[in-house]
Amino acid sequence: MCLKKMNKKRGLSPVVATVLLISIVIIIGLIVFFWFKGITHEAITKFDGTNVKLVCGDVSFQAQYTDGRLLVSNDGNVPIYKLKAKMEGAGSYTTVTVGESDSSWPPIGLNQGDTYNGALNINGATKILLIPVLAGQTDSEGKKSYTCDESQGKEIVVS
Amino acid sequence: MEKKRLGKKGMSVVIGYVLLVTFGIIMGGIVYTYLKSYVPSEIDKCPDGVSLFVKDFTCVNNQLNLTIKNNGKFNLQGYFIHATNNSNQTLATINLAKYFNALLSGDGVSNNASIYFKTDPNEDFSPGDIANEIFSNVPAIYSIELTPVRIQKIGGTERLVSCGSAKISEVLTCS
Repeated sequence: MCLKKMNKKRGLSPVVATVLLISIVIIIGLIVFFWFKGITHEAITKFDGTNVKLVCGDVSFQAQYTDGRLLVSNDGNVPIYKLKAKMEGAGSYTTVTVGESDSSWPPIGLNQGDTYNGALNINGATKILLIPVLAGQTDSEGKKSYTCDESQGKEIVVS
Repeated sequence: MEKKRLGKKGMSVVIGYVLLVTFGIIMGGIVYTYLKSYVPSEIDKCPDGVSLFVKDFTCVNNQLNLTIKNNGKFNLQGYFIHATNNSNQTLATINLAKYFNALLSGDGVSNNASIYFKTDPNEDFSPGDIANEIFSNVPAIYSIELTPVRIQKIGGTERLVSCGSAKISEVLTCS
């Protein structure tokens, strides 16, 4: 009888065990959530909540480099917030933001049908890769810019 | 007695189902929230049959007269107009919309970025329609580029869409 009673009292009570189990699950869940949130980054969206990475594919513009000036025309329907120019020379490259040095780029970017004509010092570069930068929205940080992939840029060969 | 004890072991079947369904819904919600931005929405794109044609032009004493015809299959609302000032420039960047003379043209309006064919911007410039557009005090130009624009209903809202694929160029001889 005494042995039976001792056996019954051994270990945690079912209530404590359940509370512990639930607590551990919640803690592990939170750890996984914050870890996952850290590696995935918050999505930047544009227009009706479309991810800006997809919108980059819809950017359409034409560009020309002539007489030390860069000419750009936004032919599409996606506003180009900024343009990054990656200039490749002999064994090196530099990246600049178009129109930043002389404030000639419109502050709101190039909207539909807008054009840009400004000086660009290429320092002997033979190729210019123009990479669009789009302005999007995030839930936590509000307005945020996103630089599109280099494959979505436009290359100009300087002759 | 033994049978009764065995039957009470573990969670009840109902609680098991409730938990399973709840986890399923929560997981579904998380995946939906994460992936919803990757679903492509309807993009602003002009139909293929959009076309403008510069039927005639004169360029005298800094005044540019254009006769523009809608020779496409769709209604248009207006156009972007840019010019070059030398033959080296293949891309037109001089905005001519600010030189649009609505009084002399008789119809149309400019918002300094684009020009609408009609004074009421929502009014259509239908296929076959012809417009005479006059630009005054135009600087020295070599060529012009016209990009048609139209209003399209996208996702329930009307948006102005630029038809970059229907852009036309014309080399002018001004005197």
